[in-house]
Amino acid sequence: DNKRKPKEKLIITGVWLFSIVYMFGYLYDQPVFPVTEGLKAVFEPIYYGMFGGP
Amino acid sequence: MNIQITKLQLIMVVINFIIFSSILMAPAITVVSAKQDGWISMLLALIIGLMLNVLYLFLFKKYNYPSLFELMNRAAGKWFGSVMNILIIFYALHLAAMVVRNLSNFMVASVIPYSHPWTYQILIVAVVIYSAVLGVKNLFLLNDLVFPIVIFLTVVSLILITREFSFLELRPVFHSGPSAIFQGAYATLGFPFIEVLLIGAFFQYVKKKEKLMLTYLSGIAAGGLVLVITVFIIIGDEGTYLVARETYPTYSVMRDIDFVTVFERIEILLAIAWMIGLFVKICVCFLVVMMGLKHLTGSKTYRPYLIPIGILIWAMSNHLHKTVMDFSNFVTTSWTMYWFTLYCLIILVFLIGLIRNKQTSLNS
Repeated sequence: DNKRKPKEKLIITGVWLFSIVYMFGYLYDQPVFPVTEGLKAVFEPIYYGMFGGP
Repeated sequence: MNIQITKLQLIMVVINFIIFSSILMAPAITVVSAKQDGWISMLLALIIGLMLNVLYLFLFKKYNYPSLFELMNRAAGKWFGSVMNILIIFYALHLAAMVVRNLSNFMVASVIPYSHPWTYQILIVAVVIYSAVLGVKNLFLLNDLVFPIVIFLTVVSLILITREFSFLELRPVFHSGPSAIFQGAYATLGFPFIEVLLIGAFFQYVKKKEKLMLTYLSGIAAGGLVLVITVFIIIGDEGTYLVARETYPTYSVMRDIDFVTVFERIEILLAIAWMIGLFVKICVCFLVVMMGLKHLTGSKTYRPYLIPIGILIWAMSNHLHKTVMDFSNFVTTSWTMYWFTLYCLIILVFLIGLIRNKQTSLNS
């Protein structure tokens, strides 16, 4: 039995969808999932708090 | 398929993972804050990194080295374990994208100026996907083949640049003060000493698991010492002012090699070693993502995810940072704490699992 389970199908579809949406977000310069901005907002104040700076 | 890797193969992948992607950038990152004490910063980062990894391995050993993803489920239960697994997959994906971007930045800035970064990104992602199709065992066997070549090229490069070395550039020692030295160590701690925890996903495949902790830690120590020696030589060769101004000072120093007429402009040898090392690192991250998705879905193979994850890594490598400066700034200020967060979460899950195990054994 090589049939895929529904959960597996759902995750494969989700991964494909996210990849395609993210790729078009990059190609059309749209912030799909602003990882860097979020991480900077969290971690940069810690760095500047420890060592000084802007 | 029954995959088995030896401890020697594991140690070689760990050394490759530690040295490459750091060897060209580490001197600049440490020297910016620690000046001529940059090599002390690197040594401090190595010591702290080793201590963090000792704790990680000690707790891993308590579970008898299962897969990292399986361990999360076992220690934290089904739901929280799955959340942790998704987090680890995201971290591995992010690291792969950053390394791909690092490679294309380097190629465009130093090796072939005015070329398009997509060329290198698409090529490396395609080769990584092909390598992942062939499986985990293939990566370790391939690393068996390329590791001696890569290390030979790196060591020869380092020996050749010692001709211009001067101890004057390294004095006065400890002049920068402990705060500056720690600031230099902070930036190089996450990149590469904490991110090496991803290799925990391959522990399940190691043949004989006794003394695995010693093997893994000696790999980190060997890779870290190569980085310390590199930073030491580069500072002694170029001086802090020039090193701090360049993005890839190791490569720039290599350009100045003029050793008999035959040995001129051989910096590309180090670049080739670096690219091979980066390929192994991207492959490790890619396989961790694949193994995580396979574990998460409970499927028999990870092949359906190869192409979409390849596309995602390529898009992320371009979309995460608009400029090289933004990339460098993010690595310096946020990368260490970002990875330290994952490290703390994993350690917390390990401890929760141990407490739960103790309670169930007491109850029974």
